[in-house]
Amino acid sequence: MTSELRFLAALVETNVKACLALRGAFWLQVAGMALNNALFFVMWWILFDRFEEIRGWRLEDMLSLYGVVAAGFGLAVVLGGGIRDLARTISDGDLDPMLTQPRSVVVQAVAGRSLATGWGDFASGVVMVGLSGYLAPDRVPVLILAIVLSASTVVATGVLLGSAAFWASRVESLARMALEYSITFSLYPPTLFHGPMRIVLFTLVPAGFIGYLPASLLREFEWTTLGLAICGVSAYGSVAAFVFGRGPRMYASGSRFGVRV
Amino acid sequence: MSGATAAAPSPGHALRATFAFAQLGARQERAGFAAWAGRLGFYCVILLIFSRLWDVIFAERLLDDPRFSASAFVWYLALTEWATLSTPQIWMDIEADVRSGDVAQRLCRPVSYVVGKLAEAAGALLPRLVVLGGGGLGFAAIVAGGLPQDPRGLVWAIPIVVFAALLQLLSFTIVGLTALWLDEVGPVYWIWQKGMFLLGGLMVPLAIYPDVVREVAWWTPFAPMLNGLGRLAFGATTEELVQTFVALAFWIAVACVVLSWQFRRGVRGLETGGG
Amino acid sequence: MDRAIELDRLTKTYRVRERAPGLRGAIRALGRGSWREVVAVRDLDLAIDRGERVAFVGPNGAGKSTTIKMLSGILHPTSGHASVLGFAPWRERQRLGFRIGTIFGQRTQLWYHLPPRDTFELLRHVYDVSASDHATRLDRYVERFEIGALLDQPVRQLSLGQRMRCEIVAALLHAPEILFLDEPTIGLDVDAKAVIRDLVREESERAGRTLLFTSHDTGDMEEVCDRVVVIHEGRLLLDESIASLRRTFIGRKRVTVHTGEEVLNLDCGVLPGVEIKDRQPHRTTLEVELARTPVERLVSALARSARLTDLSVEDPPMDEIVRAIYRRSSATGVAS
Repeated sequence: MTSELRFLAALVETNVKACLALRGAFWLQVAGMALNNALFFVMWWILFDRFEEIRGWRLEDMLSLYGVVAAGFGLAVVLGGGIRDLARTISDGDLDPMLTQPRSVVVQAVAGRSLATGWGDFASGVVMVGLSGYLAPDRVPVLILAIVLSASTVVATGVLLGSAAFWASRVESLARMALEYSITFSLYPPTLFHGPMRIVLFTLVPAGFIGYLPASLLREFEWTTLGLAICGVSAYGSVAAFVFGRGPRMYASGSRFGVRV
Repeated sequence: MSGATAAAPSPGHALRATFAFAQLGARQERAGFAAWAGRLGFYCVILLIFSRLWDVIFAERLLDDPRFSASAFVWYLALTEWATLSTPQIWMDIEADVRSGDVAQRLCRPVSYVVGKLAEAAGALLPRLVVLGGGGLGFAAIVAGGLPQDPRGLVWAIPIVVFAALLQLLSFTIVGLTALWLDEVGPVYWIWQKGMFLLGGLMVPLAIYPDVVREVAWWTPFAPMLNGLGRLAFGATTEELVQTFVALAFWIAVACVVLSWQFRRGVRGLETGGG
Repeated sequence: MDRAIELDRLTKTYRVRERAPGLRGAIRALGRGSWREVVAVRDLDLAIDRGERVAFVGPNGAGKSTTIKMLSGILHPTSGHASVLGFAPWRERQRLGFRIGTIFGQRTQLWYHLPPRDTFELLRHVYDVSASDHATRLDRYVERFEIGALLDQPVRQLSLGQRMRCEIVAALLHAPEILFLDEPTIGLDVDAKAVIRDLVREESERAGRTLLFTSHDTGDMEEVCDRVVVIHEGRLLLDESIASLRRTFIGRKRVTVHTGEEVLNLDCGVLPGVEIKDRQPHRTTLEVELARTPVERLVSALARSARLTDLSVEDPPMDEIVRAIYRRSSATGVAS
């Protein structure tokens, strides 16, 4: 077990180093992403400025939701940046070196890459949560918990979607798009929806577990909410691990020239 | 090559070569079924989400203008997304070409790299417009509960969407070519896209904005690209139509100038850089 | 255990989607896809002892890479058995992983933007190598492979040959018992190839490492390995030592002679089994069937016919041997 942990630590360290190796690109991406999030949020600010509240949802609620999702996503791609292009990794045959090494393939594939943009997301997310007014000093552990829950769901979703490449061909951009959509949909206030749509947002698209539930922990901590969130994350994680685990027997490798970044 | 006198290519040659690129782009589009499904799926879901949003807002309060309604706002989004989802993400391809060095290779071809790339993307754009238009607008009709109040706007949407998408395509090309100078193009694209969101009114009509912001927006290329198209959902006054067409024509011309300047500058850097 | 690798009727089949071209074909494919089965490897039987150096040779698509990938745990076979160091590779992948090393010519395990040193350090943790062992081995390989100057340069700045040397070091740092190499010299120039071949062979001899080497460059085969397995269309065509291959398969020699005269005048009528392969000004290459004309008779005939300035007698290139094998197999239609 300790050997696994030491390996994971070494892996994360290496790919963060790889990320920082291109200094200019790193800062450009961090700043760009932070600015990107801020500008996107301006749209919501305009909306709420005009309409004060939408079905009980106010600007502060929107800030906390957005902040948790951004920070969660940021954490997910800093530590597990491999999820973004997992489908491409599989279909390009880039799993080969990972399969010959005596370590878990999914860990290598997911944690084997770090995205610089994640730092920008994480920073802007935390700032937004701060601006929402829901962050008090004694709430910091709850924030950490919320971010970790959100990040875990993002990673599980990424693994699940990327695994499609084991069974279907030419799904690389579709899988990547689907992951981005999952994040997008978690940014809309779920009070807008009821009935079947709401169920979809908590099952098929784990938007509720990426955004709504973790963010609501911040607004009002309830043990039932926490329990629900943990259940959801565990469910997604298990399904993702199961699906990915069945992948390698379908794996066809490939004969492309590949590089490890 | 200086010794041989190569015959000058016929004037039709360049045109035919460009058309060949367009055909290639169209053919490649047909092959990617999964991408079609994804785009159409996203289109429908985003229309669903926003229809709920506008329903809620309009149920609880009214806006001044009688042209505005939840249904009209859904049609607005349907139109802007029609153009946006149909436009190929050419900036990604260009960035990849520059990184891999393919650009240098294509400089030798008779058709300019940029023209070829644009033609290819245009070839992909047209089938997308057709399919997404049919599927997406059809779905919008269902979600919005019928056609917009003034359906004439939709007729004008057909030519306008082509120009709007073309302008988007040109802007993406400019974004992509920044790869000749920058390490990462992603951030440039995101900022541009946010411009489309905010100043173009991609999702939220500029009508909701404070007047001052709306006026500023129309000085940028974003507003004609998106809001000019989307507001056809509210009807089409002659004044608005003229404004949209003129602005689109102007910015397309500007984009072409910027593109050719950018490409010439950037390529010079490539050539002197060696490799 | 003497046996390092054992294969028993190993088979790998792929299902490839068949689609008629054009739009109609695309639409039809949406409904019922029609599938075609491609057999990449068919009923392969093989046994390799520890310390052997075996070359897997065959044209593109023969099934060499597929076989190596099944043995290193990357691919699951469709049927059959394989045992590598006692493990079934695809089932006990992680346990086997500690004891094998892989080098893929078309794919690198070095991190592209980082210096090789960083990858080596990571691999230490992947394979759970102690710091002292790692340091000792690294020192040895840095010296032997001459990569000292390369250790701290980002991999993307290295030439292909330099990268390959680092790649091999990366594969050796955990002292694997078997090395799988898949097209390791692809894209390298002649000098670089020679260096890689020497280093790989030496490492195998020194540590008793088993080598399984795929290539479609027969030079790799000749320089590094002692035994050749020829694979064609997924089947085993031939499994022999290199020496035996030369002897049994082709009893020919290639004679290249440099003459003072511009054109060689040789009466081949009196020399059965002698064929002129190539004519250049002052240089002629001939091939002689040893069964029909011994070399000495040819050489004396040459000495009588021309003023000889240089003469060499060689085995025909391995390329031709392999081609002859394919020709024979397609003529008889069955594996020998």
